[in-house]
Amino acid sequence: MAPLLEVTNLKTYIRQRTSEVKAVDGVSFYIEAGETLGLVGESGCGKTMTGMSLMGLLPTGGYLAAGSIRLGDKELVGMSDKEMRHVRGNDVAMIFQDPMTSLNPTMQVGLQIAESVRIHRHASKSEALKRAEEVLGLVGMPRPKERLKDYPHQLSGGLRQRVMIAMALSCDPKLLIADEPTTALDVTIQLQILELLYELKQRLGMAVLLITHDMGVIAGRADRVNVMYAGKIVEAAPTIELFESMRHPYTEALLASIPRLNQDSNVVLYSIPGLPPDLSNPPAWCRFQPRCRYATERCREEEPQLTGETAEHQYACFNPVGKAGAHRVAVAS
Amino acid sequence: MTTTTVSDSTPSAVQGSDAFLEVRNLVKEFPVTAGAVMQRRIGSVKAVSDVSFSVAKGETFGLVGESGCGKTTIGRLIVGLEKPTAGEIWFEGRVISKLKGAEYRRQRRDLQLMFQDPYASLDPRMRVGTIIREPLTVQKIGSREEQDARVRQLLREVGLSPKSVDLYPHEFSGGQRQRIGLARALTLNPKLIVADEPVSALDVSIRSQILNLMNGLQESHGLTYVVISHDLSVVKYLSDRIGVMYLGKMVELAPSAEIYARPAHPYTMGLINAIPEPDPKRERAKNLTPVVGELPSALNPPSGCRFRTRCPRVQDICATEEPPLRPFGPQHLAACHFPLQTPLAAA
Repeated sequence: MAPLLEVTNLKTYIRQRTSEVKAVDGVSFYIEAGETLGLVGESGCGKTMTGMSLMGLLPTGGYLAAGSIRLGDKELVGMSDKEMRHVRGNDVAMIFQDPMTSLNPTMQVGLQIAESVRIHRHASKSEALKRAEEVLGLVGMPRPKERLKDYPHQLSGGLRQRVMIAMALSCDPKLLIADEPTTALDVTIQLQILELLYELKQRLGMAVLLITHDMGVIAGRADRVNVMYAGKIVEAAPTIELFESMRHPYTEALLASIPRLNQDSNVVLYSIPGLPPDLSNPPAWCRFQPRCRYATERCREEEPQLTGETAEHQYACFNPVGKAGAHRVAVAS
Repeated sequence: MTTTTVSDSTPSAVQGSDAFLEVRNLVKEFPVTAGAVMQRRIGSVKAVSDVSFSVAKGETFGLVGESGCGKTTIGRLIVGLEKPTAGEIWFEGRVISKLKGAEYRRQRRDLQLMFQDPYASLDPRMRVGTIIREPLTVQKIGSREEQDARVRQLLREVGLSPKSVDLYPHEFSGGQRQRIGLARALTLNPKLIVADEPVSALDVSIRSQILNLMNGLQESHGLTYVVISHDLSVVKYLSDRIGVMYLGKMVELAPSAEIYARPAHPYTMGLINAIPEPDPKRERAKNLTPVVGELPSALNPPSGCRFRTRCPRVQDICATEEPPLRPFGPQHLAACHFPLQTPLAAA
């Protein structure tokens, strides 16, 4: 059976005054119905822009330069605004990092949730408010009927995030894109929200694209992981396999630089020298090369394509880590 | 028995202090007013409520907790940016929290703050050289040439090129800006640096650069650190001892390894459980009882134990009696009526 979402060679560029940033530069991945795909990387890697591209929410100057986004039986690239408005909410919904800046501060939360239902489902105001109360209950909001009239500033960070999740779920999407859903929250609240998302996913049979920089969140919640760097996917694998047998030097470096609770605190953490490339002028060779301790001549001449011994575990590197004859997995851990 | 343990649990305004830094029965409350024309005080935010701990010279002490726990306020109290409502801060045997004027300004040299947000804490209209030189200018130390030489030396120490003096903050990355902040904190040769969320605003792979730098500088400069963060992994990595705070109270104090291996307070356990670790098998095997509910109001904190509204072990006594800090091991204290470990028998 075909996957729920299939993205092929997606290129999202952003036109600026004197240059063009190739934020997403040829990215392909898929998500099966009901599964959670983790998209992990640091700032500027293109993960948020990938999520925005799926929703058709590009910034000023942003455009889809190439590629295909197939959701169910619909091709999203090339859709009109009107068609996209129908897809949003009903087929795919998104929750963002900071609920305080993503919610309208001047509108009651009940009305904000209802607005989503009215736009995407053409429901009446009273029907929409009833649905709003229903989803607020679904996301574990205490006393949902009373909360409908609250403004965002009256709620804590965790409750605001529940409102945003309620908004996203109000039209029963098949795919939920969660962009750093818990980064702005206290860690004990973060756990509550992640548990909630997991529960909802199981109950509603939703697929989730979990976008984050946090390898811990990925480890606990994603079925498969795609690691992004400088606009490209550099490694893709099932979660356990990624952590146990990573192949790309960036994945290895990322994991080696994180302090762990159960690790001896005297260990010197690995730090990746240098900075990611300027995406308005990316190199024609490996984008990680200047910062990679295993780089060879070839890495400075050619761009590695995604390859692998199995279809499930792919990586873009000429000198992968951990393979016999390639490199020992070095560093502190 | 160490001086540290005694000072942590025996408040006395009359005793001196042999600790390097000692925070004693510290209270900070921020008044909250209401009213359009006539402002009347309707209450106060109890940001820090009777907190005591000490830090030894050369040690790194970590303060960890979530929003509203009071850790940032304590950091600001230590460096003198706020004055306590009650209690004292002792440094090298003298009370520094009540100093004024020239004495206060001189004391400020010894305790410096490294700010949290590398994007907001550097004046965007000042060149980097001027930013780092500013403390020397304010304190009227050294000639212009001497100051410039010091700035170049500091830049080298934090791993930046001396040519950075003429550049503006926006020309640097987040990690580089944090290095500038660290250089500025070092300008006056402080004895103690309070680092408030030193790496939270940085990308994961850049954090390790700053953490390694901080450790290295501690050795070369004989620095003492107070590290403040909501991120227990970062705090545990840097610190020798850790204090866990909740809603203005210190709920547990212990050496870092001990906090992780044998947490006594249910909140500490909740915090540890909630941290997602980059280890799929361990993550999925975790049997989690999430800390439920929301943080209560700091205007009107719960009676008795402040954590009781979210605690899985709560009983009636928790509402009527505030649990005292009790010892659980060497340098290990926790405040709980139903702790996860067995307290040491009373002496």
